[in-house]
Amino acid sequence: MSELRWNPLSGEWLATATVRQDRTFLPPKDFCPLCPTAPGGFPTEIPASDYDIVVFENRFPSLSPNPPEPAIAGDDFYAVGRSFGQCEVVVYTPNHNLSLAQEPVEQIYKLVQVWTDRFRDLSAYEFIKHVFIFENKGEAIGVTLNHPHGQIYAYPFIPPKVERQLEQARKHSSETGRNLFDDIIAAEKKDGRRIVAENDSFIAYIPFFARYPYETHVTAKHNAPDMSGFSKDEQANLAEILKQILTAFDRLFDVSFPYIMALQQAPADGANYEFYRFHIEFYPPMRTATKLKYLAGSESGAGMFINDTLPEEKAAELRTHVEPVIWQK
Amino acid sequence: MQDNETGHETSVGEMRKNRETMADGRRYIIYYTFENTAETTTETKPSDLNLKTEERENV
Repeated sequence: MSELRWNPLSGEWLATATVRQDRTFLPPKDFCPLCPTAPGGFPTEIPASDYDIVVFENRFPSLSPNPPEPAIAGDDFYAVGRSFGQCEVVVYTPNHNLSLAQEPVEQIYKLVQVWTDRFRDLSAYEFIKHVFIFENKGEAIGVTLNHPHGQIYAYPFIPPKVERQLEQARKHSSETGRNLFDDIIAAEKKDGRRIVAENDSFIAYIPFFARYPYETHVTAKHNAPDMSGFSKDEQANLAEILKQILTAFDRLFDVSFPYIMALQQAPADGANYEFYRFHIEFYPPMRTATKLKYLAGSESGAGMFINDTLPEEKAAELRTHVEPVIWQK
Repeated sequence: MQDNETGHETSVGEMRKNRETMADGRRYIIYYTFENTAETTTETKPSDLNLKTEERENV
């Protein structure tokens, strides 16, 4: 059963997807559905003995191009809709044991190209209004498969978080004539203490307004509402700064650092979003080597985050683990 | 955005993709490979979905 239900209290859609209750949960390595299918071995989702990067439709989707009829009838007050959309799985590598941080920068560069291709392709569907690329990494986040992979949700509407950012960016642009992200970058550079890494195309920082101790944003320095217009140089520079940040994360506590990685892009509804800017937001749940940040009363009940740390101090800490990336350019 | 599309000479070659139907007969799978060739990307065209513009790449 799967459908969209309207929440009149928050003014937001949510999706039910009961099929997801049956999805594979932390299988042993020999039965990983994202590994290549070995000759004579367990048939995985990927019927090939080797691959570079693979994308396939999620077996347990929340949204699909041909969704079932809703399990319940809606009305004008409690609206119900079919859960049109698309859910894809992006398998980063055939190697079960390597995280994205451990992959060579060349593999991340390949992934950037695949992300761009998926964004372009999914944006072309008439019923898709927003393409959201993300990764849940680590059991602390709640992953059900440990093989390095990300996901793509293509929504039939603009999701609320993006809608809010668009409103803020649009308002800032109309009031000042400037791009909100240019002003955020200018403020971060003026202070300097929260910047973690930078190259010609991107800047990484723990923002002034960080909600998590190591919440890191990677923002395009030039105007790009989404990644579809990135040059090869910019794609390579994005791969390079991601390699730096992901490696620094792992070095912080000498663990494979859990995080949510969210690629924030303009909607795919054909409107003009020049006032918006491609950026990546990382939400790592670790606040120390042994403690996690939980979304408790204030965060979950009131929507107000309380950060137990100072972004200036956490950025300085993270920055000490950032090293240049050496690769053939 | 920057105009330099070829200035970043990496060891990663051109991206190619091959779209197939999965064993369940209903889902698609796309294999991405990167080789040092100049061949263009290829992909099976969809048949049942409308695209917003003809200029956009087929899915």
